[in-house]
Amino acid sequence: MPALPWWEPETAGAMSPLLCHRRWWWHQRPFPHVRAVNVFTPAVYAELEDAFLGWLSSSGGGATLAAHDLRGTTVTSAFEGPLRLFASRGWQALLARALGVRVTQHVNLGLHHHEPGGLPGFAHNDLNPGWFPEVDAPSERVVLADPGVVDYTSGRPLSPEARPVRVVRAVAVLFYLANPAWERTHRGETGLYTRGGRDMSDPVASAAPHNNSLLVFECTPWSFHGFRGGGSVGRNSVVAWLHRPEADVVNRWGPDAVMGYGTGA
Amino acid sequence: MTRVCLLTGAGGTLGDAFCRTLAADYDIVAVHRSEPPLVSSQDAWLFDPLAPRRTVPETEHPVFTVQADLRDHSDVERVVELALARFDQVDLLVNAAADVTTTALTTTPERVEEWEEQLRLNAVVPVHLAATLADVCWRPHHAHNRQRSRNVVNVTSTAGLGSAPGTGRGFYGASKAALTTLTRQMAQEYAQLGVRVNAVAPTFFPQVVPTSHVVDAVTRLDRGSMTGRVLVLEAHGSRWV
Repeated sequence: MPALPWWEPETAGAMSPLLCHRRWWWHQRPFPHVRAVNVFTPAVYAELEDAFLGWLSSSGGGATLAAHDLRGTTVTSAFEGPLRLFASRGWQALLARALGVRVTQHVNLGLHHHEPGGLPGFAHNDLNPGWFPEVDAPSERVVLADPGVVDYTSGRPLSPEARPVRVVRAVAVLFYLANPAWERTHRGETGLYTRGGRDMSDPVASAAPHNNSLLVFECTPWSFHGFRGGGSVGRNSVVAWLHRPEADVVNRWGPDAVMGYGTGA
Repeated sequence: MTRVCLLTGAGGTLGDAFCRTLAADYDIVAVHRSEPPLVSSQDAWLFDPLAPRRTVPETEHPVFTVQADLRDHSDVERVVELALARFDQVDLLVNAAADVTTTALTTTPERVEEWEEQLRLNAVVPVHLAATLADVCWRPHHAHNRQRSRNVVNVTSTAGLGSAPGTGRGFYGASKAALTTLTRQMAQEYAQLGVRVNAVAPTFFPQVVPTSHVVDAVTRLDRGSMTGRVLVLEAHGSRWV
């Protein structure tokens, strides 16, 4: 019997039966972030892993994301199956509540696959803009990025009727799954840093890609992080960004805080 | 008044277990080089994602974590300064930080710097920390030291007790033998300060001896009145040497 409900959780509280436990870690250094292990119950995790591996085998990992030496796909509203849990209002609300961040309904959800030996990324803060299609939907409904309608990173409309909406990344989410049991030699950690740049060698902290584990943080001018390199086995993850109005970012950190893509800062 | 424990190697197997077991019994200054112990601290704490503003019981006794590379002299002094700034005193120093690297003695001469570093961390740093504490905290307070049963517990190893420590463990064994000898000498010299010095010498943990036994041995030495003793922990039990 499937462990995931046929409905999508609408509230943070509705996520409760899917969680393995109710103890996550809040870390302050080098910037506030949340880590959790054994996030979902074993039955729920098994369904998520099966769905991810099914996507990986059928798609080969999707398109190459040139700036990050990885392959991946954007999960749109047309995507079916257990991985839609990560697009649910309940999951979004749980993460936003955990971090204490007010977010809009906009979510960019992706599946990422790093090949063994994949190159390290660079330390960046993810405080970037994102564009979504304007939809006539209740504000509590999740609106997913859709690369067939609006280019997420530039706002370029890709269909005649598209009306792009610009927001800014508020929360970054990495959920690690479908990886071999992690050992130190596997690498593939997400490094956390005090500054941006190409030197990934000496993180202040790092999150190892243990299966069914989670790294979440608010995107701020100081949330520098990056992939430390693929090691011997590569890495699989579900990534997501929740968003906030640009005015919130400008009010809090000034007009220059929102970064362009591909910058080391 | 809660006893204050300055613990090195807090991110290791023993240090992590010590913090998990004894965070409610001691005010712990947990010194770690890379990963901190997985317990609540001023930098990291557990919370309920469904009720993030509610305090959970596991955060009631946070340890005070300090990141430091104790092979750096200035970090030894900084650790002591931070411990005293936070708690105003130190009753128990547990020297558990160790470099367990194994290298054959026939290896290339380029490894000589690693051998020196291993000897420094495993044998010199424990004395340096104790001497710094003695200098800034213990020396003027002989009676108070006795009253609070202040003491040092050095974590040595059966690898340092004279038998062959095993292939590749020459410098590890030598460093632990040095620390065992230094423990006895420290006990004599620190007696004039009213501070006891002992060691626990476990065999492999957790493979042969449960880590909890090593933690228990440290608290046994802290709560006792002995000095200059080495408590050996082996598969079949414990003995004094």
